[in-house]
Amino acid sequence: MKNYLKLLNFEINRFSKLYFLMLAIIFSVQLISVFYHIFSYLAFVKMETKGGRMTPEQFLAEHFPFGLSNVFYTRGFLIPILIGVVGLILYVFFIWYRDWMARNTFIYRLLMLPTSRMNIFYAKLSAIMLFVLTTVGIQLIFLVLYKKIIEWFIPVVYRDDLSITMAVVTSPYLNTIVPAHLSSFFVAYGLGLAAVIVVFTAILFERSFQLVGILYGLLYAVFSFVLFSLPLVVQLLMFETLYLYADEMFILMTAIVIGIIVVSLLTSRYLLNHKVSV
Amino acid sequence: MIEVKNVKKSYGRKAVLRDISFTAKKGEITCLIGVNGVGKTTILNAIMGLTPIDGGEILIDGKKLTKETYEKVAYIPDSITMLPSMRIKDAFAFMNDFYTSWNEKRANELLTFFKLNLEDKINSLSKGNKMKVNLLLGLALDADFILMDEPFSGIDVFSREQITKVFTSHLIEDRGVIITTHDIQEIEHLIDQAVILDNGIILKSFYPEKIREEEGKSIIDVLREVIDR
Amino acid sequence: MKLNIDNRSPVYLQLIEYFKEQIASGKLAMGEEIPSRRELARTLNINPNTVQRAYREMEEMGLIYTDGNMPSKVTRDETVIKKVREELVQDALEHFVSTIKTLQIPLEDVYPLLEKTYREKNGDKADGGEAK
Repeated sequence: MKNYLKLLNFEINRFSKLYFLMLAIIFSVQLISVFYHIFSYLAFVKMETKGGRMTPEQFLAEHFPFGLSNVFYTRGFLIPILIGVVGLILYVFFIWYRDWMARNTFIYRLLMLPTSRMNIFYAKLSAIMLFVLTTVGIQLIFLVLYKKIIEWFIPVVYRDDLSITMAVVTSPYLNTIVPAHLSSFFVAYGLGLAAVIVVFTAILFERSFQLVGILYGLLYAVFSFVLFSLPLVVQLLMFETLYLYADEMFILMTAIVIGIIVVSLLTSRYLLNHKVSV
Repeated sequence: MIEVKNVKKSYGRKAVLRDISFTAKKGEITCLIGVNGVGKTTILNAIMGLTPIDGGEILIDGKKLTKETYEKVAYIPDSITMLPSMRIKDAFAFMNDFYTSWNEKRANELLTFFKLNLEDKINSLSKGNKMKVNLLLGLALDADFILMDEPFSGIDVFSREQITKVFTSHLIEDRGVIITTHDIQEIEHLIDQAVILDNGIILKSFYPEKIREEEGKSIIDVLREVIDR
Repeated sequence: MKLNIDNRSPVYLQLIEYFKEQIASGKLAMGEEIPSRRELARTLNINPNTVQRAYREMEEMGLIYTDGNMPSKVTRDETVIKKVREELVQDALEHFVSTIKTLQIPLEDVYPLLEKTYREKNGDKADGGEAK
């Protein structure tokens, strides 16, 4: 446990510089975009209502008031989120491969630590989950900030005081990252965790068997995905004869996901202990 | 005692180790001499559990490798095993964090011995100095065995001299050493046992001092004989 | 100390030979401390086990002795030293004679040459001769 924590701390430190750079890019682009949309809205309002051509009521009859949802669907808001998602997905691979690829091969040291090699696995896994959760958390804090900024700049008549919860729930993108209910939160992040574990196992297949390993890894990932979606497919095909209630389905799929996680962890442990090569 | 018994290893269709057996004893310096080709590094990697073997067995003091083995057997590969961005002191802290056999006192002694500085950043060091850091990290463990992969390869003559001095110093003391080299002349009189390796098999393993006494041959003479055959 | 090591003969014997010469010539005095096994290994870049073996054999021959944890010292036994000298002289003579014999030079012709060469050598390093 102590060694796991030390390794986790080490992984976090190693990625922190790049991670903060990524956060800086994401949120500065979002901030700039928020200001851009606020000022263009204000300019638009000013133009339309110039010289009393329109009263605010008339304007609002034709146009939407300005609120959080006005920034959610803009490119300047979504592209940074996409950068974050892609960045963290790449990190899932990078977190393993950099130990082999660097000029100074750190993997020698990692594999020679007098501790269970699974600690390395768990440390890398936890690091990724922590970075994901932190990113989402910071995004939420920034949402509060954006709301404040909107309140500062947009006069109350033109403002749509949508709460953050409502704004998030009504946006399909944000809803995925920040589920409204605790249960859907666990489903989303549970699936994410399982996916990362499966990808880690695939990476270890490649690291153990090189070229053939890529094939093994891909097959493993595809197999896991098929297994996971099997109940849904069966349900779809045999709708007449076999019908599961929603909670039965939920239990079945949870069991499958847990099964996939357990098998992946055991496979990874075997590969790390007996097959992996520097 | 490290026993390597009938070890086999292939990469794809290419057999790198075909049938390797030798024993390295504590308190002795065993040298794996390979005139050409690969295999030496693979043997060390296999002993350390860093690459799986296809056949045979490796025993360390009679037991198979476990995670505790890494406290007792130190490996010094030919490239440094720490992150390039680390300073020497960070590498020390890392070792101290994970290894109970890390001997900080000896580490500092080695630092002086090699004329290195705690504040030195690893990727700013010369190749010779990097090798010294590497050696230092291995030697500072209170390990019974030390494996070194080509410690003299591609470094300057003064670094070589310093590294050679390690073998005769108390830093090795009664530990067992396995060292690989393709250039035996450098350490001809430093070693106890020579193991000649070529094309994945052991051509001969012998005690040079004994061969000198009984047959009046130098290591190079023996090398010439077995390679020509 | 300087020692040119021959790669084809056992290093431990070369060490013993070296010490015999040093002791016989008086360069190492009776009771003088000799370097520790590690010191010597370090100066000559040779395996400490080899030095250890040489020291052990020299101890068995009575050339050196060790009191407890003290550094080893050259023997104070004059008969041993005398024996070593005789042995070295005998070795040198045998070597010399066998060379002369292969060249088939009569002994009478060798004497004057021997004397001449000896004088010349002594002339080169006068103080070297004094020490003898």
